[in-house]
Amino acid sequence: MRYRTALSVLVIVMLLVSTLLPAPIGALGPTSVWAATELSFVSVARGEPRRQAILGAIAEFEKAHPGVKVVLSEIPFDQYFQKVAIALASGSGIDAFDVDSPLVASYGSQGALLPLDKYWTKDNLDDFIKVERDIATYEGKMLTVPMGSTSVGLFCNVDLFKAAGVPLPGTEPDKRLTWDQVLEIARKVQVEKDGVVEVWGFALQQYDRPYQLLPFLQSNGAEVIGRDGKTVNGYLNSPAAIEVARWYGDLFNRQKLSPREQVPNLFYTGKLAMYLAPSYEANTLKSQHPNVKWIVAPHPYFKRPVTPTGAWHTGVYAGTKYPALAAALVHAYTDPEPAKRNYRIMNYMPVRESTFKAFPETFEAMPNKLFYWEMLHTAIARPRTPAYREYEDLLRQAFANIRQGADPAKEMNVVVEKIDAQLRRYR
Amino acid sequence: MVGLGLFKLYPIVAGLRLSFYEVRLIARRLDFIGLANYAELIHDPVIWKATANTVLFNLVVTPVQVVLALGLAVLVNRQLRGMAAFRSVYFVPAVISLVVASIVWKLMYAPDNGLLNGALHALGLPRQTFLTSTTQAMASVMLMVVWKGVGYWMVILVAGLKEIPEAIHEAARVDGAGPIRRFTAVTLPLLTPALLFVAVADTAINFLLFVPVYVMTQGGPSDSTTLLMFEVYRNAFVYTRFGYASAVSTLLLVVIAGAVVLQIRFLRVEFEY
Repeated sequence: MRYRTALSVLVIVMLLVSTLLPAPIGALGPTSVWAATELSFVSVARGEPRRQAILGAIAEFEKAHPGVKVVLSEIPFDQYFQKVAIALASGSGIDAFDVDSPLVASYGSQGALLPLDKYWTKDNLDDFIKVERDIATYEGKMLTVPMGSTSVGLFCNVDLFKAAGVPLPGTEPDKRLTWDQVLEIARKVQVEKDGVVEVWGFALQQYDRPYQLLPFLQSNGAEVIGRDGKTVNGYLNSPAAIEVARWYGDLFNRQKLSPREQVPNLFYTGKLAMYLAPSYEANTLKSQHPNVKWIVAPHPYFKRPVTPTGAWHTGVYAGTKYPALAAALVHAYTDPEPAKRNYRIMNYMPVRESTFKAFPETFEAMPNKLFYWEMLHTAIARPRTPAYREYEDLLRQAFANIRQGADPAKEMNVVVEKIDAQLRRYR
Repeated sequence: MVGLGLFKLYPIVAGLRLSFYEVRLIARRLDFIGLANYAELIHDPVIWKATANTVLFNLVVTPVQVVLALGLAVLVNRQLRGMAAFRSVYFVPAVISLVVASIVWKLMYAPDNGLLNGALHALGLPRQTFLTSTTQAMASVMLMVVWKGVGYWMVILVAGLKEIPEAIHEAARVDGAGPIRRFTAVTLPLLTPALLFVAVADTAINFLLFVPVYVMTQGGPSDSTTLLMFEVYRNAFVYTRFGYASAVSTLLLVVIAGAVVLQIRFLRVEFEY
């Protein structure tokens, strides 16, 4: 009995001692006691070859800064935001990190990002396209540096259009279809047999994510959040917004031109005629599905053309012990020359004018010419609000409910109450 | 006792303490707000909905699982050829990962291309909405959970059945008791300890259910399948409201404790052998 008690006490003491030791949060990465200076870079795990972009930047940085070692932590996307939040909360194991572009305001409002204005020259910043410079800025300060972006287009299966005897839409911006025209085409190209849809007319790649759906609201003239980013009442439940919500619900439940559950690979397997998808789908189709013949038409519209944009930025943790070094690491990852390497490897749209100009064979030909044009002329970034994660999750639920048959007006009013309740915490 | 304190009581006390704070994780702030989280919880319609769903879920799923498990246990406890194979077949769902099972059932339930609607269509029956309607979604999740858990509890009840001495059954047979009388007067009372364990453990597990909701419905459509455990997750890890999530977690603890106390009171062990 005494032996068992002693053993229990010993185990408990060991556990207590281990919890009192400094937490490395280095579930994010090992540290070496021998390096003079160590910087931690936290990145989304992108796999090969895309991770070569950050590895290349790290190699260049370490060469330029002997005695400084960069510890790279790569975290799967579905765990990324939680682990970064924990790292930022603990204040250790993170000096620079990937920032999902709509979260700049969220991190910025909580003091997690170091203002970077003094580390970047005006010439360097002017090279970024305007929409990305705006995303990187919160309350007048530059908090992140753009790294890669996206645009969205309407991918059309050439063979399915031909089989239906429907002419393909034009690919230039002035040939842009309205959404009514898209639905009319979808009815003609959709193929049904014995009540089962064999070829769908239209689908969105992210069928309930605000990234793709907010431009629908904005295209119809709706604003999606108040100017101060702290209320959505009168915006997400405006008549223009509810009209779009109704249209969206009808697409699945009355028109039945889009599957209610997201089915992967429909476009790749020739079961989908029109696919509203991000720009990176072009390279995916070229490299992995060369048998599919496709063109990209401009993103359709209701009243004015609006396209989604944004992807990843890079930020420096406000509490880093080495701000200048961390900024230098971000330079190594995002400056004009590394940006060209990033573009070749990572399958994001560029964020710098110099990158677009460095690849004329790509950006003067379709579809990248179209995507580039959209980023300059029709792209609107996602709302800048401290509560973007809550906003996105709640809006996503609302659209999921509408897609499954809920009353659109009721859902938009309910989601306005829920989002405003979350936003009130940040007032 | 020390282990119980460290690994069970301490987390409960720590969670209760956190429920009196507003936690801003990234800003590294912990502000004492007293009972504000509980005041908000009382007025939160989503939490009320989740509580009602959680109670309903357990009122349906736990008894159905226990009854089905008991029926299967009695069936497979018979000394017939091939019963070992049946026992294994009924146990298979228990060894499948809950995540995998949820994903597969979600695909089966898909309204446009799912296996179940395909089968219904082939039989000339109308397609169903399953997970995409507020009227069917909860029942669809319940069906999957019942299927998943029955085999596991069956095995425990089989063990309980085997503990009942055959001599008592023989004596009852000699006294003229038929199969139903033997079941109600001999088997059921002597199985009560095992039944109590299954009922209480199943209740706790079902009250803490999270994975099927997370994978299959995300609490929708229109919060019709949200459960308290899912709301704890959502508030903690999506909205980073750890204080509020702790308050919801405390509410869940109170509900589970109440349910377990009621069960133990009504399922008191009266028979010994």
